[in-house]
Amino acid sequence: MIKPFAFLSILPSMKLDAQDERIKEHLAKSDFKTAFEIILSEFKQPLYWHIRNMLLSHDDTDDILQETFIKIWKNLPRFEQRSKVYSWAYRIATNESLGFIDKRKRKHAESLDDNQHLENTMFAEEYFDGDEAHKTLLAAVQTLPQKQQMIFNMKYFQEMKYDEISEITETSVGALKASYHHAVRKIEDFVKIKSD
Amino acid sequence: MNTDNNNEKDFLNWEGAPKISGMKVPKGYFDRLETSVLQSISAEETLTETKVIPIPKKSNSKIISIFTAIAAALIGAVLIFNNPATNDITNELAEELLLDEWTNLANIDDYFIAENFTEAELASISFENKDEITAQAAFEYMLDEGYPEYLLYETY
Repeated sequence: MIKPFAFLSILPSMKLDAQDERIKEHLAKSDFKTAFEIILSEFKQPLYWHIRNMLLSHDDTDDILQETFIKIWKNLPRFEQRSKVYSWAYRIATNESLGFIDKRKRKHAESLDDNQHLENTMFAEEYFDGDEAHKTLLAAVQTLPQKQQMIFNMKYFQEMKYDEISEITETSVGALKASYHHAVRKIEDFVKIKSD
Repeated sequence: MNTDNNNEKDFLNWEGAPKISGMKVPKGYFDRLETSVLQSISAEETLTETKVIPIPKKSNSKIISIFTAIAAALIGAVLIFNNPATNDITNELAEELLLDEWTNLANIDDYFIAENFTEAELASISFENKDEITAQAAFEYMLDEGYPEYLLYETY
């Protein structure tokens, strides 16, 4: 097993920005294959963690990541380059993940409370080696509304800047800051209650 | 943690809060991912390509039988009722036979199809052989089905 988030030391946004230019150069020449190869090579880890933070399960993440890349490949010729490539890729990954979460909620609605199911999944997951603090943090994040979860994950775990999150989520920076602030408060309250 | 606004409260007020989620990936996952994605895309593209599947002999004959029956009924109807030489008795007989034929055709419902065709055969059904249903084939089919020869010769 490799250490999670190892990519953060070499990533984040500056590297993606640099790749954006390279990708757009190939897109301008209609060289979609090369453009896609760069996207696949450079975005696989950030997109994986973006999805994994939302879905928690590695297997589900793997499925949705594959779907995301297939959608990126199919839509690459129609990408209008009004936004950054990685923002566009993140939006696809986000939509795929949210769609999956909806399906999963419907599937488990009759048998088990969804949050309980997710908790069971992430802690029983063989790809999780966190300690009690990790478990508490993840459990706290799961209590947040979906959008707050996503914003918290992008800001806290993926260390993205507000303007980057803003472009991906199409939400104003002000609203993101407020949302993140509420998320942090709720997590702190959750931890406090749990430790009392 | 990276913050792009130092005035903003970005840190969790929680001593010992983990900076990572504790989740991990299988060793070599990212190395295998690219191959896996490219294979998925290749498989997807192969699936979406239009494929012409040759019709198996068995289902081919069944399909031809059905379309021949339809053709026979139509040809019979046109020839018999438009032939002034046929007398009333012949017309009556022809009408009866055609009625039988249409009844048989009307019975080709879901059950008939389910009973007589496998899924693979249905999946491979193509109408590219419709040219093979000729008047001659219809004539022979009607003969095989026991239509009186004199009637067919008289009206054909």
